[in-house]
Amino acid sequence: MYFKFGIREKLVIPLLVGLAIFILALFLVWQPNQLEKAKKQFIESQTNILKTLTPSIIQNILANDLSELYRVFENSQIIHSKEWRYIQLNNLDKEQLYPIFTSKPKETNTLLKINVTIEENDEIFAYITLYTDWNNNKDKELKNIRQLTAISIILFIVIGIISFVLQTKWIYTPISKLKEITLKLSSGNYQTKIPQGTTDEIGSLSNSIEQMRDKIQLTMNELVDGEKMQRAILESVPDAIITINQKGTIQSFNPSAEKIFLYSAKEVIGKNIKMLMNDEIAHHHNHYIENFTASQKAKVIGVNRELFGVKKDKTSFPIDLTINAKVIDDEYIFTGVIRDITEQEKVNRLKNEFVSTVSHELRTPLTAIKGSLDLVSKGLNLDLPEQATTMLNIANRNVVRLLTLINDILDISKLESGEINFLLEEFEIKPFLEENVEINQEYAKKHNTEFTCTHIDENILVNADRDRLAQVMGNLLSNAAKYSPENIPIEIFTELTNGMLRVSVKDYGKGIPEEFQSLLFEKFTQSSSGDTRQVGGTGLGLNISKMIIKKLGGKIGFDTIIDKETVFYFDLPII
Amino acid sequence: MYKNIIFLTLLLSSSLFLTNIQASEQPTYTIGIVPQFEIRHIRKIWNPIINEIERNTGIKLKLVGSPTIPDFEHEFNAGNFDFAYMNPYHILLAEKSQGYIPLVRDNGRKLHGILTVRRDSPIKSVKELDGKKVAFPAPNALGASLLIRSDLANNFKIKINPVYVKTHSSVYLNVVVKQTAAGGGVQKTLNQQKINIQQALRILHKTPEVAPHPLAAHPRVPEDVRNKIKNTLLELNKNTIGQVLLSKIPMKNIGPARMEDYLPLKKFNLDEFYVK
Repeated sequence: MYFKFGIREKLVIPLLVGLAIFILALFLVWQPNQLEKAKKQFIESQTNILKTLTPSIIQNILANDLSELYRVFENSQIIHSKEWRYIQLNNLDKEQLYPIFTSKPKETNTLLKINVTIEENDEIFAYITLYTDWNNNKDKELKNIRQLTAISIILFIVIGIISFVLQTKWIYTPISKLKEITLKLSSGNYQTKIPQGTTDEIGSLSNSIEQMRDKIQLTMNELVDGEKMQRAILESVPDAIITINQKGTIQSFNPSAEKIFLYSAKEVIGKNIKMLMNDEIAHHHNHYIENFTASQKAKVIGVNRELFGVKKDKTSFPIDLTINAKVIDDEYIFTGVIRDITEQEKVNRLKNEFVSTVSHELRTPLTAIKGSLDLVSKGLNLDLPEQATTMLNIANRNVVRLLTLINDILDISKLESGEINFLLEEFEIKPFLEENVEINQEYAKKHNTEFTCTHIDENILVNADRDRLAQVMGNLLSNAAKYSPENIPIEIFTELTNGMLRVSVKDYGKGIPEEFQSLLFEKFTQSSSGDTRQVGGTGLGLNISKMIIKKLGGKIGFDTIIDKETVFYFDLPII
Repeated sequence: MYKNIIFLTLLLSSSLFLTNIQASEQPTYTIGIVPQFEIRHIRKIWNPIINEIERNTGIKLKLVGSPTIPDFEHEFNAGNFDFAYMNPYHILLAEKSQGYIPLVRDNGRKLHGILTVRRDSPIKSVKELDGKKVAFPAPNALGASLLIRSDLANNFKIKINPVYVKTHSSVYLNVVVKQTAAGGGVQKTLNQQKINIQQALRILHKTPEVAPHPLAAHPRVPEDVRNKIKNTLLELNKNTIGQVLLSKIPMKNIGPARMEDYLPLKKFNLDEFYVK
């Protein structure tokens, strides 16, 4: 059975238990002890009385004066008639000298038998056996004991009541008041008056509660302010901010999210985030979260990704998504910052179309100009003055350069807009690489160096567009040739790592200065801007290569050591 | 002043003179009583009797106490008492030493010792007490000790082991609680014991009887004085008050005493048993 005790009952329980123990102790320990003590005292006093008879007993025994001896006993018996029921005197031979005719009384609970040896100077003269009734004394003692017991119990109860009343006054009442106050505080009523005054623990508890109340009030105000601020920020941010828990349930949905997804916060909070995704992403979404919570690693976290969101009207639109994960109360909370990039995409497309159109329009007349220049300088076999020939060559070179630039810009534009179609086919890498090295060998010679294949893995098939991959190889090889010191061969080799094939081009040039390393794959970048003319090229090659390799499902990169070597590589999946 | 001195001298001399006359005409006789009881008890018994004698005869008597029996014996042997109340054995001694003359005695009874055993005691004859412990109140108690011890030794020719237990009551108790095989007493003290003590005892033997205590007079006391006192005492027995007074001595039936009454006692040879 379960009892629910209040503090007042708990204050009473020890008192009651104490009282019970006290009463039990009184009745089971103290009373018997007292009675036993009284009994011992009684026996002692009786023994002492008998001892006082010793001189006259000895004297009369020595004188054989039984008559006097009898008188002594009879007188004593008269004096102690209240207690003495029977007294017997035996001599040394245990012969009974007294009494003659009376017999021993029946033994009762209150009849005590006391044996006393009558002796003097270690000489024994006689033995006394006294049957003495301590009933009267016992009754008297019991009366005393009972009175004391009653007084003790009453005293205990009075002290208990006083202690209870004081405890109620000092502990229960203030605590109940504090309880009411804390209840009011917990219900949000911070204006409740908190009683002061006592200097004890309850007083300091009271003070603490007051301090706590003040602090809570302050913190609440700060929180409210902070909340307002955060809300203001969240509401003013143009990006959609959505938080979800580990299960993918939407926890918050800011006004911008409402604007972007056309859902109101009410409609989505508590629902799964999948409703904002297209089926393909939604399909993988659970898997992402599980992976992340298991490994705490994920590609998605902290990285901008371009995906597609789904609005309330089921239209799909491009988004830029950044996800962050935070642990709150042992659970991951994911915050997604989503930017609608529909407009941005549109601008990009217009830009690309513009570039593509302009480039195309530029290339046609340039091609005509180049054809004309070729005819003038070579095809017509005109005998031109040397100065004119020089001028023609300059014109020709610049037209070629301009064409190359336009071709590169067109390539980039097409790659970015996705207009290029990749003709994927399976082929073995070794002959492909050897062929490309051979084709570009002439270019190496121009820079007084050469390409050598140091190690090419055999029987490795890749699925790629031959021409585009050849474009990448051409780019990497020509770069290496441009930056390689003379007469030191450029090494081409492959390695197999993690199911990928890595193709590397290694030169022993000056390396790539640190400040350029991060810009290397951006548009119009060369190791030294000042060097552009010296080494030639548009600065678009690596950018194009990166886009091609990415489209082929691979990755491009480099390792460089200043004043020693540079390795450019790309990885492609092996079939 | 001078007159006063003469007057005082006259007064003093006349008073002395008067005293002398009184002394010569009315001598005071001493009377000693055997200290069987304590002195207060003795005075209580004897003072009323002395008063009666003085009132009837005009003879002055003075009660003289002795602390112990040996003191008493010493006094009468020295002839210090004019009159003395003594036991039968004492009169033999007193007659011998000072010539005391017995005047009166109790004629109503005779004195004898009794030998008691427990009622259930296997002892049936006195002879069986040979070598046994026998209780006596004191060595020189006449009836309870001297007569019996003499009787046992002289008539029964047995030797007992006497134990002196101070009082008659103690004698009977010692017998009852088997501390001694037998005890010497007198009929009177046995009769005074509690009934259950009496019932617990059996009288094994009685000694021959002797005349009881006499009141004797020293021979120096004039005969008329002796006779006056003897007659007064004998007269007392004739009225009830006198009988009551005398019975306390105890003399139930007072009568004249003669030395011849005590001669049989001589046969007991008590001197042998008397402890000095």
